[in-house]
Amino acid sequence: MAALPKRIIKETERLVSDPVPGITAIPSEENLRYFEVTIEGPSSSPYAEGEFKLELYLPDDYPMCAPKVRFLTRIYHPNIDKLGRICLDVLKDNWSPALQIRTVLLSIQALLGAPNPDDPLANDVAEDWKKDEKRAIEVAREWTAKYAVKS
Amino acid sequence: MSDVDGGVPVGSYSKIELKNFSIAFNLEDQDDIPNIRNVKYKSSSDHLCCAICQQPFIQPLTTVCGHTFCKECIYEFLKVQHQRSSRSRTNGSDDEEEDSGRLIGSCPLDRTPLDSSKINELFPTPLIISNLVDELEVYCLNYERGCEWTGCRWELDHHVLSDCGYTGVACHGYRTVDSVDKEENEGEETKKQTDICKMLVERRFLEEPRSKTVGDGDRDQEEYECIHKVYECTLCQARITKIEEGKHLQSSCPYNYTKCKLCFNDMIPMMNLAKHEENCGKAGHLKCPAHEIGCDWVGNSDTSLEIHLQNNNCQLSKLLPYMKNLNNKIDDLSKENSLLHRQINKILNSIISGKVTNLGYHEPMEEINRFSSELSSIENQDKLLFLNCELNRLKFELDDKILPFVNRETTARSDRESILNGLVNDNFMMKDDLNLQRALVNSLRKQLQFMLFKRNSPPGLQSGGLGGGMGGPIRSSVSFAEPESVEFFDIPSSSNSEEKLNLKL
Repeated sequence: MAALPKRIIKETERLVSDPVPGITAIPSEENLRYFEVTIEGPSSSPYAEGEFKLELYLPDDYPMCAPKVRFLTRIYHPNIDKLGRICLDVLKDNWSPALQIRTVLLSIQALLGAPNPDDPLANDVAEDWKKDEKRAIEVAREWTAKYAVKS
Repeated sequence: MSDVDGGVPVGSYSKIELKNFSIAFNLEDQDDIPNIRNVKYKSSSDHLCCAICQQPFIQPLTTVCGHTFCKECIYEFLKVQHQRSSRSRTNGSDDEEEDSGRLIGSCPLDRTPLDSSKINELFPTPLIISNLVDELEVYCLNYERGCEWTGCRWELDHHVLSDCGYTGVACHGYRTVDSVDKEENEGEETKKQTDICKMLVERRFLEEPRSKTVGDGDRDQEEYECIHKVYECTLCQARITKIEEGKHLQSSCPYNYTKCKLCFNDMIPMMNLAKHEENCGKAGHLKCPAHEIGCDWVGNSDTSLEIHLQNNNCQLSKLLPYMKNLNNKIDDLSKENSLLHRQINKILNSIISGKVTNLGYHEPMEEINRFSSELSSIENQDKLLFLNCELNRLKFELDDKILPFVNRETTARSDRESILNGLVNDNFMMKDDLNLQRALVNSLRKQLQFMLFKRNSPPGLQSGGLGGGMGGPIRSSVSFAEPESVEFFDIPSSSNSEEKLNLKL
């Protein structure tokens, strides 16, 4: 494997030394481009009290390309599908090299606080959400309690 | 590095390889340039870091929206963006980009549209920023090999290329190889072959003159022996090479004796000296504090030292603070001097290579977009070259062929102008003459009419009878020429002829 770019080393160091509250990102030992991430659900959302596991991978052309992020914990959210894929603009076309791992993870945390059923990835969830928001939020809370238990 | 290598016979060549770290610099080719992207910074400021690589700027460019990035980073991102957008635009059809030198994208920080070909949208950062990043303190690229140098970033090139003893260079030493070893070449058994060592070594192991001539093809080959050659240490018979010699004598040769200044024991191996001196001090052997500037006094106890220092016994110890101060000052000044020296050299170099034109921008304006045109392959470069040649040719032609012609034309024209002027003048004179003549003729005609009238007025108007006898008195009075009289005959027939005459004049 090619030498790790200085930027990745610097970002990793900063993630460890100065972590974002509610977010942890630990690089894997065998591949420093692979991170195990946990995000706490925002307190005002149905995901509060939950701790969601994610995986984050920095492709070879990072920072010119967005990191690949996926939820490992199941979550009931209109913009996150069964496989854990996330519909978020900065992970796709709106990526900018000025963004970092920490800003991406903060964006994901913000997405949990503000679901957007008008731009859905999980269509069934989005439909439920639009039809009966209260019920949907209730389901999300149930799922959080069921799957995203803090270890 | 194990220095006592029992398996290697004396006279052969060891295969000590240069330790290569990720960023250590090797000068294998004269054109090798240290890569400052790899450098380790001693101090840095977040404001001077590129948002893309998060390192201090290298050749920074500023955008129209006021953000600054490394040249390499921003072009790389624009390239990626450009490829992505052109791919989605053409959507599979193989529509090649015609203006591939131009990159269009947006600022990574605020998405302001950017066009790399427009100098007001992406331009060199003001000099003060480049100067600030160039002043950042860095470690030597060879710090992992042991170099302790630190300095400004702009000094790094010079240090690594010509000063740093840890830079890897080719040994280029002369080797004798016994060809007896080569059993397949039996004809050459007795001959000794010469060879040039191509292995890399740290520059500090090479003798001074050689390090300067590295890379010169016409070096005297007999002069230097390969420093990888194994020989026996003259003191302990351990097998060492020149590369290991210093370290060996310092820290592992048991017979490299030196004298302890405290107990005058001259059988202390160098490797044990530090420990020995420590013990000596504990055992009551003391040095005068002024030993650095030459006091040889050595005593056995603290009281004897006090006596030594009192009563002006040791003059040198009184000078000590002053000397130290002086030494520090000299050190500072020589450091500053060498720094200024290098600064001047750098500036001179950049003036010679024409870099400090354009208000001190790091490179000429027309160079800035060269980076993007690299993408469009050599073709454009060739075109540019061709155009340049064509331009030169046309200029030459203009100078050589057309200008003389034009000059000749102008002289000829002035000639013609003077002729024309003469003609115009002539013309005016003629006109004047003509007017004079006309006036004359008019007066004559009036006279003639008057006379005709006079002659016709007597009774008996004859219509056609104009006798020859009539001419006599007229001719005598006006002394008229003969042809005029012919005209005069026509007049009575009609007044038209008179009008004709008028018109003619």
